Amino acid sequence: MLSRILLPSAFLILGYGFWVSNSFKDIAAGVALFLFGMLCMEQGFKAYSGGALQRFLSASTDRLWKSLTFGIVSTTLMQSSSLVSVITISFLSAELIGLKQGIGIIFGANLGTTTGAWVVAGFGLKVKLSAYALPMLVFGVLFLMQASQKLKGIGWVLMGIGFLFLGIHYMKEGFSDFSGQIDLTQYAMTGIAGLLVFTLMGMVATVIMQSSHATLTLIITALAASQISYENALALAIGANVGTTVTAMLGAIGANISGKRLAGAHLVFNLTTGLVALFSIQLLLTAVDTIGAWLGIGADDHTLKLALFHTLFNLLGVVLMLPLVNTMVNWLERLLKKDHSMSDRPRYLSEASLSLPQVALTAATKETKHLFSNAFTIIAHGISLRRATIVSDEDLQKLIEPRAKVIEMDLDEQYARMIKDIYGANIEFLSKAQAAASHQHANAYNSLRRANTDVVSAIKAVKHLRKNLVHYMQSSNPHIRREYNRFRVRIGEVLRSLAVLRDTDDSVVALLSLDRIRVDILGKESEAAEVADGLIRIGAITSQMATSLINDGAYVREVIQHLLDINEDLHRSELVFDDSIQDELALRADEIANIAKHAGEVR
Amino acid sequence: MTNTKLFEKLRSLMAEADRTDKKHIKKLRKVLHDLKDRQRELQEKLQQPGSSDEQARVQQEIDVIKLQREKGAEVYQRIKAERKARKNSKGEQS
Repeated sequence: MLSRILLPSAFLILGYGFWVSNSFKDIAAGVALFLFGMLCMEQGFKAYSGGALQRFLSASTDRLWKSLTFGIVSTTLMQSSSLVSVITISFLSAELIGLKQGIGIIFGANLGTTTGAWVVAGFGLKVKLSAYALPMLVFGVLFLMQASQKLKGIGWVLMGIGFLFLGIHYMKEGFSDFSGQIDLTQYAMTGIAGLLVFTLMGMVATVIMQSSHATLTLIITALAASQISYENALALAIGANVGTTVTAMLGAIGANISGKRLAGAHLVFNLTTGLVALFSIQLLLTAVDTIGAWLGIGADDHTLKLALFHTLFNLLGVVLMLPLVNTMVNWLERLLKKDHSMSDRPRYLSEASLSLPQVALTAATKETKHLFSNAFTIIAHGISLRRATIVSDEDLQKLIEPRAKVIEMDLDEQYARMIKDIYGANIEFLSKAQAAASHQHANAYNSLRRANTDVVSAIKAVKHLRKNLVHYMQSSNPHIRREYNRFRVRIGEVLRSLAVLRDTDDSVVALLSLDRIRVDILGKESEAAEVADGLIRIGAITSQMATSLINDGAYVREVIQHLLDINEDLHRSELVFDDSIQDELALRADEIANIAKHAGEVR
Repeated sequence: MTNTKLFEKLRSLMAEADRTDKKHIKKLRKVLHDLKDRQRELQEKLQQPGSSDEQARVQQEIDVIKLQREKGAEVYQRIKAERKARKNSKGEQS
């Protein structure tokens, strides 16, 4: 509803502005080019946000000071705190880093983004940027035409810098023309009223442009053209800092709980920093004058003094908030709790990670493992075995003879509660991520998709099996009871083996271990078939029991096959692209059958 | 394309194949080493007293690993032979 009013209004205002003033057109075009430049740079850096970034980030964020440094350096290099925020949210959602590390990065990003003001004030206003912008655009386009994604990335970054420079140039030109026609300083306000009004204006401008960097550049160029007073420029800078949290909050709407907590930390940091800056503005101004003089900044060089003010108040925020990070983490975790409602929700997926192929793949793999873990419990309970029993050292063979106690459960309700939402989210995420990913990841995504559908198929097969299982595992006929308990033990042993495999770091070794499980299953299947035949022949079980046994044997095979397929696909998705060792060493079906047959003969 | 350029392209392709083989051999060695360790563990387990079912299960796992190691050794020999053949052909060209 709001956008229906706002967007046409914006078009009307801009259209009127373009009609009445050429300078306004230049300024608006400068802002548009600047924002487009930032988009190009983000696009370029995404080409480098694959495995290398993931490794670098994991290694450089294990301590708080490292996270802070990472935030400062990455934002200084990329000149986009929003890209750093997106990357941080996606890593946090995929649990590649913790909330404390994430907060460290965001604090660092706030400090890193202040370097932008220094570049614009110190360099952008003093040289003819358009002279650099045009060659950069030409080189950028040449790089964009290359096939390599990395070279394309360089192309986007060069184009981005080119457009940023061009944007600053147009803003500068626009304001200098403007100063000949109208004097905006006549609207300048002093005192507390000026401070508050211009802080609010800075916030609104940042919310509209969705970039504090763009707002600050606009402020610096306007200040350089003497269109705003130094005092009001400071208030606008504070407002821009607070306004940028709105972008973070909007981004957090689609994020999971980790993203929401990080956005909360961002909000607390920027609000506190803004309030501290407002209350201690006189103190900060004195500090700016003293440090400025020490750095050799002229008393009337207001643009550089604004950049220094911007850095100082963000630094003050970091110094004030850094000792409170642990308290903030605890408070945010208490305030924004994980959803412990009846239905289990996806834990690792976030819209933010979709733009980072390697992170998206890691998130999808973790979520599929989460789904399998839930399925593990449902399948275990479905065959009336406790998860704890399966993962213990307890001899499962002992369960074959006695009457078993049924674990009461509503499988459909469990499916709806623990599987349905995660499965749906996974399939949707996989479709989106696969569309955005390169062909190198295609096999991994296909494997994950298969693993997800196999989870659902395995649970459905357990549902069919359970109908007779709960009845016959308590039967007074020891023969049929033993055979149904054997079914439970067979599935239980496969689940146990897979639980052990889960801890294997090497996917190739894990995949090869599946051969051992396959041999084991085949041996037990033929053993069970022989026993069942014998029971039918001697009339130990009725014909109805016999048909149930045969049909349910097929369900048991189905459950086991799906369980093995899930694990094979999960481990395959983690293989390095050119890994073919597991295919070369894995046993063929006839080799598995031979070993199983030989083992049967020995027994 | 001149002959020199053609040879240069061929040489870079061979160098690429060589690098891939080296990576493959390194990974293969690691996997074979892991399998060997697992087999040794199982053989020690086989020496200890246990139920016949358990002993049969352990023996079965050993049989699987043995066969996988045999296959791995064959792959290793094949890659070595291919690398040697490539080196020889490179020597003849130069």
